[in-house]
Amino acid sequence: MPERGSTDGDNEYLTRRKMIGTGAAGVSMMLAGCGGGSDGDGSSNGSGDGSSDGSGDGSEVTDNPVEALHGWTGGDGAEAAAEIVAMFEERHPDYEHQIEPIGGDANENLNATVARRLANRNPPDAFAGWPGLNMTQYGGMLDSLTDIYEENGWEDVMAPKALEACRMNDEYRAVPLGSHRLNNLFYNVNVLEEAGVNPDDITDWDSFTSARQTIADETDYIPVTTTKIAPWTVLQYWAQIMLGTEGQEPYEAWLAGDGDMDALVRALEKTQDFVQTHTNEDRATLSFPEANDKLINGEAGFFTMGNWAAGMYRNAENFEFEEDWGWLPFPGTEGMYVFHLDSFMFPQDGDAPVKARALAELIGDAELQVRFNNLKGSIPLRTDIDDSELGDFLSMNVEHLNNNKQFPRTLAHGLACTPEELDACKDAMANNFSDPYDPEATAEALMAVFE
Amino acid sequence: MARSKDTVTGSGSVSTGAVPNDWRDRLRRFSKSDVVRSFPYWFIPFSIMGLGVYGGIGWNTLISFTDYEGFRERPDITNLDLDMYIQALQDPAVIVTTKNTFILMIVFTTVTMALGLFLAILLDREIRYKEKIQTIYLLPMALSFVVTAQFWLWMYNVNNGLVNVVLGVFGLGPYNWIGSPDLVLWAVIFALVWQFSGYAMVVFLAGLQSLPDDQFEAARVDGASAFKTYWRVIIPQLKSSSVSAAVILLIFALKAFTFLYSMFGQYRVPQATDILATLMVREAFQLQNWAYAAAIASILLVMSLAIIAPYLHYQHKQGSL
Repeated sequence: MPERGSTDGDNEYLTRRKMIGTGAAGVSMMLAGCGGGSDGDGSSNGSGDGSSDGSGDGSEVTDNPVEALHGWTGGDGAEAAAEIVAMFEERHPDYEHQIEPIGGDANENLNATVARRLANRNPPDAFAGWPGLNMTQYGGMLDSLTDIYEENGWEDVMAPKALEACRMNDEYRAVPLGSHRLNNLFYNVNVLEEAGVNPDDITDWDSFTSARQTIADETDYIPVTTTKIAPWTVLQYWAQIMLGTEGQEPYEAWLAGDGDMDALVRALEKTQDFVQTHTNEDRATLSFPEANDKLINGEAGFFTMGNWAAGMYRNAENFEFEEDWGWLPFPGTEGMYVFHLDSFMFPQDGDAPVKARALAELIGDAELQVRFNNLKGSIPLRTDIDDSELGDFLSMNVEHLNNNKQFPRTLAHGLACTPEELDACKDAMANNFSDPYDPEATAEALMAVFE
Repeated sequence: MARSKDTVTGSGSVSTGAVPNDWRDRLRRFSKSDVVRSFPYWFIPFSIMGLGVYGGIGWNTLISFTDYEGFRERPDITNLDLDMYIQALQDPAVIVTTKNTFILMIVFTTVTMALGLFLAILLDREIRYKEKIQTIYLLPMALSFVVTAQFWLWMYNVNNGLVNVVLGVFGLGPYNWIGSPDLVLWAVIFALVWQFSGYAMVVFLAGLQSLPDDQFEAARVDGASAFKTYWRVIIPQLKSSSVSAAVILLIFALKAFTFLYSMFGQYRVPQATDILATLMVREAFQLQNWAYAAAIASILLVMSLAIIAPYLHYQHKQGSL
């Protein structure tokens, strides 16, 4: 009995042991997988650091596809991004790529994805983003592109403002792709004509105010269509009004931590008036394309937005520049070009350094900049391109980019402030300037951001 | 393998002392016990689930004790303190969002359950087209937040939204549902109640239909009115249904992030609807304050547990859990 029992037991015991062994092996493989994963990240990080300085020359072409993330998911943005893909395939047919969009408003999901990937030590080879002070959040993570700039002579052919915005820690760390201008006042020609408003008379805040009043008095149209669903729009309105009524100097002084409280309050009071009176009541539920639709449909007279809004006019049927819609610099900002910049950045430790360099060279290429920006409705940063390849509206903007003297950096699009500061500015607006409106408290909160 | 056989036979022949025999016996019995025999079957799923859920909670808690931020450093787990929690308790944004989260959870869960119960009782009254009505009420639950958030946004439009058009028939409004800080949280809660009351209804209806008919008949014989029958006899028996409904609804209240994000298209929502979840995402993915965001997540977890705990405790005492 005991013998039999023990042998039987033994056999059973063995099979169970096998099972346990298999189970344990499975679990340990799982754990090893986790641990191994992070180890791998660590080592790639280390080796990447070493090689990144001399990247390019010594690096071999790897089998990995070049992975580039951008935020242009729909409409003209997606068409423009398709140009990057097409040209990359034309020039480097043997280079595999994953140039992919990450959707969402104002780069929000894109930035979140990039942040997650960088924190997990699994960076994409390239990603689109705003340079300037916004780029400081990636400090220490980005590859130097100075040698690519030198090889291609970009320092001589790129807009100086863009060169400046793409520098960090004494090196070029981003390739400029296109610029949107922010101080725009778009108008519907028909509405202004019916109201008897001459757009050429609108040169400053007071004339703009009386134009709004005239449209309200003479017609049933909405004088200004606005969107307020997101705090950045209000921040953006305020920045334009501040620049238009107080000028560039107090704006820059405020950003430098030396602001004039009274100037901020005056601009905020005007912003409150701008948002509350002579506008659409449903501004809190409209996104910017929905607000812009009101101008295209002929329901509203004016709209202010970055010139990506003009992409919608180009795509609308029978809605032509200077016949159906017109453009003015935002009242009081004549001679300014409020500067926004889209660029590509290239993290260190990418999996495909050689292909990433090829992509970087392509982004700065004159032909790509024309093809991309023509569709995107932004302005190429190359100063050596042929204007005739661009539409009328873009050519006008190129001229302004090359000839204007004042280039205040955009606040709501990260050139003038770090992400923390931008978040604090939005907090200031969300907490104090959203029905009820408190210009004094808002000004105090805004002053505190840069002090 | 051979070794193990040796020891087993060895233990049979050698009887030097009772002590080794004893632990070998125990070991053998243990190895034959159900726990060990079933080990490969329960341990793998358990460890995967445990790693995903409790591992995640544990890692989050650990991160919240560090000062982890930005991209360059890895979390330093040698230096743990409560700094992030102290900072959070002094942060006005955390206080405002905690208040909003609390209101959202309590009001949404209570109203949804009350409405679900009411609908379930109506449907239980043998009305006509019962199945069809049931489906109609349950349908919103099948829709994605992405869809419902967008069309509630349209319906809340102050000028041409359906809500104001309907209210206008009764001479009310128009109300600026989304634009007014006093209304927007209630508008969001209403939309969520709309989406989930059908779910609460189905849970309660299943509970109602599992009750035997004799209880209704007995109550009727005793001369109880319909209201009294439900209030005194039927509803007290729905405790286990209400536990499961409450837990699930509370979880959906936490997921209101998805609804808000879909509605406003960004992580920053109007201040009156800003909840801990949206604040947490902003701190983590926009500002890379990983430790601070982890602390906010822990606060959110503790808060949900604190809300549901007294209820679960009560139900446990009643024997429904």
